[in-house]
Amino acid sequence: MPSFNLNVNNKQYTVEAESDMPLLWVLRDMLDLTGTKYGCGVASCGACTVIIDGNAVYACQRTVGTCVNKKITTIEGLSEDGSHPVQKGWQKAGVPQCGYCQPGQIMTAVALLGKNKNPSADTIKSEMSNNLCRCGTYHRIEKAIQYAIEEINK
Amino acid sequence: MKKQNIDRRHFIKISSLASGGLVIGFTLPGFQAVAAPTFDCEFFQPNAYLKIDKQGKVTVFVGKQESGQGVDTALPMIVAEELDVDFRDVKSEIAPYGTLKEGEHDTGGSQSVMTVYTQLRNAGAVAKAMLITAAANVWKIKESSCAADNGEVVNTITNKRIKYGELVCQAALLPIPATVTLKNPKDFKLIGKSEKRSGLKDILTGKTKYGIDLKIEGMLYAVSERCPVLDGTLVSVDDAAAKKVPGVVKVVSYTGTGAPMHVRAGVAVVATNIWAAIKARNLLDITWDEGKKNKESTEALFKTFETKATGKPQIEIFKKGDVSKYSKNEISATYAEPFLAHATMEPVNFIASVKGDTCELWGGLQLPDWAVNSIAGIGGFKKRKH
Ligand code: FES
Ligand code: FES
Repeated sequence: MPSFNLNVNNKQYTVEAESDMPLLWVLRDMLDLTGTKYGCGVASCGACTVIIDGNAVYACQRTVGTCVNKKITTIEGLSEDGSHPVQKGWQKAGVPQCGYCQPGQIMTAVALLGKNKNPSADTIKSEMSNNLCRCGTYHRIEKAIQYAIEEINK
Repeated sequence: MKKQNIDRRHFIKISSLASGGLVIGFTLPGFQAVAAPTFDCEFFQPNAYLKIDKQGKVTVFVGKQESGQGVDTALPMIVAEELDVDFRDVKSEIAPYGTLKEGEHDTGGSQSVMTVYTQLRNAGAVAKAMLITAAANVWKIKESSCAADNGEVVNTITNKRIKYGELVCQAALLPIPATVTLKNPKDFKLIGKSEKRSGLKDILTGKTKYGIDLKIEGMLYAVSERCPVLDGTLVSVDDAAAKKVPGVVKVVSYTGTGAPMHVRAGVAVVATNIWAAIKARNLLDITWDEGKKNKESTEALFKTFETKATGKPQIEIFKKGDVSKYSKNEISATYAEPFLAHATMEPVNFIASVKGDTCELWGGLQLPDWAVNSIAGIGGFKKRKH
């Protein structure tokens, strides 16, 4: 079985896996980083969103082989205590219901604000539309992103 | 020495908690110091719904499945209200299966708060009453001269206060009162107010463990391809390609069941890791006989509803107050719901660990009794009382 060197949350890992194994399963099953969620496995829900080199990516759609020498960030890598501005915004707006989609939502928002500190309402809407929420927390997600924008630009 | 009256059930609990096989059941004469309880205890647990430790921290055992509706916050609030504690000292834990009555672990119909409201208020009130009695014994005053306030018992004569945590070992020795008085709703401090969801930070940092995040030593993963239509059957499956996927252990076909479980017929791939199982499932070549139900549609279903409802007597589902007073504002509407999947974001998952003649189960379930009873039936396991 081939082995791969991965940089996840600023830590180096070497994993042995089939080269077509999606990053999602490497994270969840091999590295025990279960904060990244499995929803559909077919690029429909966004629950598996992680950040690779600054971009929000569906981890279920990226094979492990394509992630070597890239900087991968998962929800566990944002902060230990929820102190990342986006997590704080989420906390303030009390976003989650079941919470299952939220790591993915948060990662998409982090990637968005990482590129653009002041995105327009339309940009926010279109970027965030990559993530579904079965509980329907969209209105609070919008609020949370506004709180995060205030925090970042403070 | 004055013998204490100890409820037998309660006594067993205390005895098993007391360290070093200390015989308990009496208090020493001249006992005063609150900080020096008569025996060592870890916590006070008067019923299945709550426990209080020596630091005054309260754990409320929630028998309902948290799935975003907020029962992990709402149900502890009800207990905390009657207990008169600071809600920041309260945390929730899942009520271990079997500690509540059959059916009480079920979650559904948007009825969690409604169905356990009185029970939980009682549970909190019982604990509070016992803490008050414990304090009254310490101060050698009447219970009526004591009041509960924010995690402490107050001596209303001297205004002295004792923290709940310092009373738990004494309270644990007391008989459980048969009846308690509940608060007048006008005195509510928590119920009716808004509280922040519990466990929010864990969700936001990815620490919350959902059913699908659980792992047990040496577990195998099964994923299944199900017949697209209810009551359909499997005609044939070619699993040659699937079995070649590294990690695949076995391919198993199974028949469906009718009501109430409505499990559709399927083919499951068992593998050492979930990715192998998913990949192999996609390689299964299956022929289904979809059966009689493959022509059903929402329109047909709604027609059936209509025909069946016509001429049938109406059933009253909910009544509150005198409706005739408002008859001028009568509103009528017809609602029909299609046959829909819940479509949860977390794929349905479950863990069973069979060792010899025992089977342990883990999962996020609305109706754990159903799971336990079906699995006990299928596997020939006996249900163990908690
Ligand atoms: S699990 Fe990756 S998009 Fe749904
Ligand atoms: S919070 Fe439940 S799916 Fe989004």
